[in-house]
Amino acid sequence: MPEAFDSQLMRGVLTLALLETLAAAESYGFEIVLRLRAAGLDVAEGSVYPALTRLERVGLLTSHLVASTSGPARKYYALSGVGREARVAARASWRRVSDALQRLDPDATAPAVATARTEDAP
Amino acid sequence: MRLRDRLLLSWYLLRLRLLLDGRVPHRAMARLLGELRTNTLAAAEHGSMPAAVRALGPARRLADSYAEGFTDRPRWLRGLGAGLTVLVGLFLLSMVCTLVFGWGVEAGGGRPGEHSFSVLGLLQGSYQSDNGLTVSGGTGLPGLLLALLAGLWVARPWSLRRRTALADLNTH
Repeated sequence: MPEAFDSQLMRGVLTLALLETLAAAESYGFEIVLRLRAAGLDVAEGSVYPALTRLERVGLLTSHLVASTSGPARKYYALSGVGREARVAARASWRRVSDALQRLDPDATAPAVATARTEDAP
Repeated sequence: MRLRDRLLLSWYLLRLRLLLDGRVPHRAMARLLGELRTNTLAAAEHGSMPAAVRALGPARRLADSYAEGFTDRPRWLRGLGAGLTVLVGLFLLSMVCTLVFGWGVEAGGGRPGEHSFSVLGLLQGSYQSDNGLTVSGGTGLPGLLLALLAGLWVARPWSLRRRTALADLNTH
């Protein structure tokens, strides 16, 4: 169950994760996968590559070919102007969701409530 | 690269190509297959080719994911096909109706001359039994409009607008 939940969650945040990764530096498909994994996100190549294609098609990413010493030319992705704006918007959305979840977490709010009750007591 | 690894990758890409055929434009498909080959070769350098190919997941699922990104383009050919199908369908139906209509006129002892009918302009037909039998059927302007609507419904030209809207949604 936790794995299935992680997978669902990852699907939702993959776009933001890709925009964040490419905001740091332009990169190609497999390197992006490695950077996401290094950051602690367990992503599959099979979901990252189509997502990159999709983001490029809607204009959030640009791409260009760079010659590689170890094989065929690699397609490097970078954020477009629209992509940079989308990243700011997506990050703001993520903060809103994250803050809301934080407020809903009973473990996080319990000490504050307990303190208030102690103060109210005669 | 070993022959076995090369065959493994080529076999996967061939299956993917077949699964994407007709769902993704050919030029885009060639580009994405080339990119996938490059990325998988890079992944194989970090491990092994079987592991790199396995990490891509089932070819069918990957094809579905890629095709998802191309559902936003108008399907003009399918739209044309749908429009023509409606036109031909209406024409055949009107011919059948005309024959039934003529048979009804004859069976009811109708007087000689031209008899015609129209159902909202969609189905039209005439039956003439003066000198020899003349039967004609077809569709009028409403039928043409219906075919146009069917064509547009299937072609989905508004998906171009939705694609722009998606970009806007991501910006604001």
